[in-house]
This record gives sequence, structure tokens and C-alpha cells, in this order.
Amino acid sequence: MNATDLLKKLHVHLGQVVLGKPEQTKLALTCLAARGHLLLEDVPGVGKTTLAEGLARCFALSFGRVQFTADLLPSDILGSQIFLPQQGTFEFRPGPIFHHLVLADELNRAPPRTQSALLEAMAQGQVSLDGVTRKLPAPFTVVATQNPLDLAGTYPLPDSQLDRFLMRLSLGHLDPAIEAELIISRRGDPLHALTAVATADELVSIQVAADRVEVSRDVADYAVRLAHETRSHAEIERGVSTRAVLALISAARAWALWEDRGFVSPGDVRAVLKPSLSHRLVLKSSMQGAFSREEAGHLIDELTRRVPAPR
Amino acid sequence: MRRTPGVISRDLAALAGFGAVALPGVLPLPVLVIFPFALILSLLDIRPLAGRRTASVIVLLVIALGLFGAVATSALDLVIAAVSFATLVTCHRMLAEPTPQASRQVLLSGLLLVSGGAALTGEVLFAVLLVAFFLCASWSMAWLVLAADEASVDSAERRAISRQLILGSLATLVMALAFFVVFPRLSWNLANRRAAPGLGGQTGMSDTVRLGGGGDIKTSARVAFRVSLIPDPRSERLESYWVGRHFDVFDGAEWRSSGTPATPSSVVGLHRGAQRSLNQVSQEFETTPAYGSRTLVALDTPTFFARARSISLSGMVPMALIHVPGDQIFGAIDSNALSYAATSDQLSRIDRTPPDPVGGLAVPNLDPRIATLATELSGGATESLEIAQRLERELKRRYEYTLELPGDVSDPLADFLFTRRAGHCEDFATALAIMLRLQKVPSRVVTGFYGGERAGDRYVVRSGDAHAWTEAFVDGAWLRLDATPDTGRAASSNAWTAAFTNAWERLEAWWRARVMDYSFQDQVSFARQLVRPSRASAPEAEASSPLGTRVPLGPAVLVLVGAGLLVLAVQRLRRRAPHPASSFLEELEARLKARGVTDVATVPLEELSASLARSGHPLSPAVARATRRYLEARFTNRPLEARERRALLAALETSNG
Repeated sequence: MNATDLLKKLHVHLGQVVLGKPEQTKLALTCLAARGHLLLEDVPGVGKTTLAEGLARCFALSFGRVQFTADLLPSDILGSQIFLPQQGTFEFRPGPIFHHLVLADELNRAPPRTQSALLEAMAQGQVSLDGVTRKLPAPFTVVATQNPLDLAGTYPLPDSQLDRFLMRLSLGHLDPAIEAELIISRRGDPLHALTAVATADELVSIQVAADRVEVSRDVADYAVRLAHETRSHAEIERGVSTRAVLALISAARAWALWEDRGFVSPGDVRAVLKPSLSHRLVLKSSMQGAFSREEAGHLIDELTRRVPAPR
Repeated sequence: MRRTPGVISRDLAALAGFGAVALPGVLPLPVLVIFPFALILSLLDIRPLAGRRTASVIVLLVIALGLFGAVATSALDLVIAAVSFATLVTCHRMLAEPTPQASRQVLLSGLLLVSGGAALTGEVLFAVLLVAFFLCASWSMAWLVLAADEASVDSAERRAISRQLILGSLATLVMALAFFVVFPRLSWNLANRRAAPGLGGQTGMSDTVRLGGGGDIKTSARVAFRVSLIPDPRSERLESYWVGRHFDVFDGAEWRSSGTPATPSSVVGLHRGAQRSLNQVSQEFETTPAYGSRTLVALDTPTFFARARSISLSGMVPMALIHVPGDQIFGAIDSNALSYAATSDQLSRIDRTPPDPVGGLAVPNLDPRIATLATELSGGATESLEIAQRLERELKRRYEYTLELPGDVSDPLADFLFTRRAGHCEDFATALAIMLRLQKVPSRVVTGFYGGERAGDRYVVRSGDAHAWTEAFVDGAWLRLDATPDTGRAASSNAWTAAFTNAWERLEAWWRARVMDYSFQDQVSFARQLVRPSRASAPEAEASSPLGTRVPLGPAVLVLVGAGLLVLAVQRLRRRAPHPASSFLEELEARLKARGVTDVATVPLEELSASLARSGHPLSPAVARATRRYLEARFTNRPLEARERRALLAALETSNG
């Protein structure tokens, strides 16, 4: 089974638990295929956790969940040395981060020190504790969630750390018809019914397939021109970085897999543009939260209209 | 990289640079010999200096010290020493291992050579070499860049790059021409203060007239001077004698003038006793570096010289005139070019200066046969005029004109008259003068030019028009006699060389008018005309010829064309030609619009295809196929064949929608 068929099968499968959000689940799978970390920004109760756990289950990935709170310490995530009196030695007890997929719930509630411990692990794929470097399992993905409205007592992520997430998605409320259907059909936790349809190795093979997707010069130019436009836009305080363009292209590579294409098209770039770039823009209006997200989305729509695609 | 195009064009660039410094003919002989040798070795890919860096650099340093010593003892001009050394460095780098670095060094020293050439010469040939250098050098550098990455460049890309290069070279050429036009006075003739015409010819005007020797004076078609005449004779060719000076003392081989020079003055009048007549012709002269002499000439018979100026780096400098015996007038300043005004009385025999009673008839110890011949040729005439005319006629009839010179013989006159029976103008003039004296008619030899052809509103006289003739003192005035057969008077050359020299002359005239003599004032007036073209002067400009006037149309067109080419080149570089698949996209969109899919104008094809698929549009499968194929053709290496293209478009028509 090739990467495209596998992804489509996973998409259908995931649709059984995350109802009415085909676009978002498709993007979430794309994010995983691109070896990226995912930031879910939404109000509670719209299925963020379900999506994250669903992703873990259908790939049969080991799943760790950390609820971020104001008193959470780095060692609560990474693990710590436990003294064993019988042997008279220390033993490393790995934290919840030593899983394939880690859900960092309400990431912005933890103090910056704890946030940065997680984010370092995300960037390096490894953890350094007491001078010993421990590799994290591969594949390794962090799905973090944030509540954009309830900002009291939170530590907003600095721009440099937001940059580490490949995509930011928001699920949003369900369509009323689908919501009604959900209420009728729901018996118990649907996640228990969700069986694995792929393995961690198959996820790795999808990731390798995404790496093989070619990017032509014209498409690369297009991505760069889009990025460049964010840097000179009147309403954008700070445009996106080169890392952001790299992220954009790797997301577009993974997106091309859905069409079973060995190359990236301008449409692929446009498809992943908003989720890959919107959280990296610093707007002049400097509004935080939902409004900022919508504003960034509008600006990116405007950019795609303004920057001509290669024809 | 052995004999790649980059290395070859590098060597050609070096050759152009060498040509620019060799042109003035001032380089020391060893340097002149070494360069062609090194060039041939390099073109044959023989590199004797590869891997012998230290030893060869030491040799170069020693040579540099030697050159420095020569400059310090003022045995060698600084500029000449510098270009000689640059030539040797060029040779050294050419014969070293042809790395890109060595190639760049060759080009750099070639550039030094070209700049040295600019200091040495203002010949139009230098401009040609300059352009050749820059073309070769830019090609070489482009090939160096290509060769460094040769494996990654396929033939299609190479062709594309070559096209760009040609375009760029053309733009460079046009811009270079515009540059030459806009900037005045390229040459400073730094090391070449004495006029040494290099490739140019000699005028034949010299301080003495010496029979015998060797040379090829007559064939040189280089312009010696230009002159405008008032009144304008309005004929294509002038049959005029331009007098330089007289000679009255002959020693058997050489003519000289006797007497002492007068004090310099700004105006010189000759033959003061003569009355003003209606036959006076005013002349404005301009000599070229090919003229090579300080002696001023004027139409026969000159009466007045004034407004002499020396043309040099600092512009026109007024110059005093020195009147020396033989009615020779020459400029007090030694310069490459002169301008002056002269007046002549053309028809009347106004030169009534009596000959020296002894010198006018003095004859050296000559072959006795000459006296016999003189009596024979004069045919028993007794009147001076008749003697003169008979001798002139008989010499012209019995002797042949030749450009072959006898070499050194003990008695050149006897050699001419009895052995070779052929000679050139100086032989004829001498023979006639001596025979006249032997027949007791005072005579003298005159040198100058004969001829003149129209070029624009002026006349040009060439080096090859140099001539010598005779004057006899008959009935109280000097009478001009010319015993040289008609074939030998004016410059002789065949049709092909004449056509070539004419084209070259035109280029040179343009060069002189636009570059060498293009002054700051010309620039200002040119700029003024560009800003505000004067209507009144337009018919005048049309009426006069392009050579004499400074019509700014040419440079303006050049600048405009250059700027246009540059803009085109920049645009081409910025926006590459549309991809072949793009036309398919346009056609596809047009068909979709025709089928009523109105979103085509606003939504990109990929998104459109996806939305058609979502809404289950009947065209969707065909559009999806066409979209996918378009993307492949556009962003990968799977070009769209014409047949497939037609099939995909036809599928849109046949789907029911």
C-alpha cells in the first residue's frame, strides 16, 4: 500500500471519531507526514483531545498526555532520577514525553521554563538530563493545545517557540446537523472503538515518501515570494522567517502525497499556507487570541491573491 | 580545463590587449617578439611554465628591476616600461597551468595593457582592439563560470546562456560606442610625444630630398591633412599642387636649402611685393598625426600663413610660425596635429624672388653624360621658357614612373637617367632641375603634395599624395614644371585596397570627429540640442554633409538603442520566457469558460478542479486529468506532447456538462 492510499484510509478511519472536520483531519495527518508538530488552538470541548488521541490510535503509536498547569516542572515532562535505596543507585524514570505522540494540553498554562523544556525536545528529538542525552522514540510528534480566549493566568508562547510548530489548526464548532448526528450516535468513548489501521513504521514510510517529493524552482520561488510579501506587508509587524518557508515547503510536500504526486504544485503550497504561516506572523494591530488568528488568515488570503502563482 | 573556449577567448583577449600597446610601435623589440611566441604556445596548449612558478617569478622580478633601472636612467619611458612589464606578466600567466585563477590574471593584465594602449595611442584601430578585448574577455569569463560547473550544465542550458551572452555582448558593444561618443579625447599620447605614426605612413615631407634609399611612400592612403577652401572649387578631385618648401642646393645626392631662419611670428606673409588679385584662395588646414612634419603646406602659390594652432591634450594652443629659407613655414611647437589658415594666389606667377645668382645655377660634379643629354633633350631651343617646356615634355615622354627605389648608388641621378630609365617624382624633379641649370636656366626643387579629393565639404590629401616637382625662373618669375609622368602623381592603389581604405577613412573620420576631436564644448552643444532641438539649424544640418558637422542624431540613436537593448536584456533576465505548458493552461481555461465554468477567472486551476470534484460536476474527471497532466508538464520533466494535449482538451468537449 503506497503512502497515498494509506493516508486516505487513515483519513476515513479518523473521520469516524472526529466527525465533520475532514479538512482539519487531513491537515493533521499532513502535519504528521511532514514530521511536524501540531498546535491546536480552540475553545475546550470541540474535540482537540479526541483528534490527538485518534491520531495516536490509528497509527498504533504510544501516547503520552501532559496536562500543563502553572506548577508543572520540567521534570514532570522529561522524567527524573529516582534513588533506589536497595541498590544504592539512581535510576532514570522517563517522563510522559518518551512517547511517539505527546499531547501537551493547554500548553500556555505552564511557566516558560517548562514550556521551553518541551519545545527543546521538539526541536532536537532528544532530551538532556543531568548530562545524559536520551533519544526520544521515532517518530516523535507533539500535539499541543491552547485556549485562545481564556487568557487569565497564562504564559503566551513567545514567537520563537510558536515557530517550532509546523501547523496551527483550529477545529471550531460543529455544523448543527453533524452535531445532532453525533449526539444520537455517540455511545461511550468512541476512541475505544478506534482500532489501529497502520503502524509506526508505516508512518515513517509515509514521512520518507514525503521527503522524496520534488520541489521545482518555480514553486520554490513562489513560496519565497509569498514569504517575502509577508515581510513587506503594511499591516504585518514582522514577516515569516526562512525556517517558516522551509516548514511551508515540507508541509506542501506532504500535502502532495494526497494527490499521489511526486512533485509539489502551487496549489499544494496554497493549501498548507494558512495553517503553516498564520501563527508565525506578528501583526501591527498586535491583537492576541482568536481575533489575531482570523486577521492573520485574512492577510494570508490577501497575499495569495496578490502574489501571482507560476503558470 | 585545457583548450576550452574560455582559455582560447582569454588568449584572444590578451592578443587584443597586446595589439593595443603594440600599435604605437614603441614597445621594445624583445617584448614584441616574446608575446606572439607565448600566444602560439598557449594556443597549442604547450605550457612550459606550469609548475615552475618560483623560478619564473624570479626571472620576472629581475626583468622588472631592469626595466626600473631603464626608467631611472631615463632610457625608457615609464609608460612603455609599464606596458612592457604587463606584456611579460601576461605571457607568464598564459604559459602557466590554465587554472581559472591564472585566466583571471591574464584578463587583468590584458586590461592593464589596454589602459596602457589608451595612454599611448588614439588610433581608431585602438578602439577596435578595445572592443575586441572586452568582447573576448567577457566571453572568457562567462566560459570560466560555465567550465567550473560543466557537469551540471546541459546543452540546452548552454545554448540559453550563449544567447544571453550574445545579447549582452551586443548591448555592451552599443554602450561602448555610446561611451566613445559621449566622452571626449581618449588619447593622451603620453609616451608618444613626437609623432610616430606607428602603422601609419610617412608623408614624404622631410627636411631634405635625398635620392636613392628605399621606401613605399606612394601607396599609403592615410589622410595627411584636411583642408577647406574658399572659394570652394566644387569638384570631386583637385589637380592642385600643395607647396611645402623649395630646395636650391644639390650635392649630387641630396637637396638642401641655404640661408638662415627668421624670428618666429604669428603671421607670415610671402611675396610682399605682389599685388592682391582675384585668384586668391583661402584655406583652413587641419593636419593629422599621419602628417608627421612641422612644415606647413598651402596651395601653390602661398602668400600668407596665420592662426596656427597646435592640437594637444589641453586643447588648441596658439603657435608661432617660423619662416626658414626655402620659403618653408613651420610651427614652433612639436605636436601631433596642427591647424592653420593660409592664403594662396593660384593663377598668377607672383613669386618673383630672384634666384641666388650663383646658387640658382650651381651644379655639382656630375656624370658628363647628363650635360649631353640636357642639350639633346632641349633640342636646340634658346628661350628659357622653351627649354623648360621641352625638357619637361621629353623627360615625361622618355622615362617611366616606378616606385621601386634603387637602393644606395653612388650617383643616383645618372643611375636614373642612364641605367634604370625609371624613377619616382624626386628623380624626375631633380633631373629636370639639374638639366635646366646645365642649360643656364635657374631652377629649384619643390616638395609638397599633389591632388586632393572631396570628403564632405572639405578636401583630404593623403600621405601617398606627397610629391616633388621643379620650378624654373623664367621671365622674372618662378614657373612650375612637373616632369613626372601622369601615372605617378597621385596616390596609386588598386580598387580593393581603395575600397577598404575608403571604408577605413570613413571610420577614422567618424572616430576623429566623434572621439578624438570631440571637445567639452561639443558635448555641451550636443546635450543642448538634445534638450531643445533648434528648428532653424535643421535645414542647414541636412544641407551639409555628415562628416563636417556634428549632427547629434547618430549618438542619440546609439544611446537610445543601447538603453533599449539594456532594458530588454534586464526584462528577459527578470521574466523568463513562458513555460511551454503555460499555453496549455490558457487553452484549458478558455475551454472551461466556454463550457460555462465561470470561476475560471478567479480560482486557480487546482482549486477549481478540487471544487468541481466536490460538487460532482460532470466535467470533473476530465478537468482532474487535465490538471494533473498540466502540473506534471509544468513542474516536472514530463513535457506535454501535441497529441496528448489535443486529447485532453477534446475530453472537455465530449464530457456532458
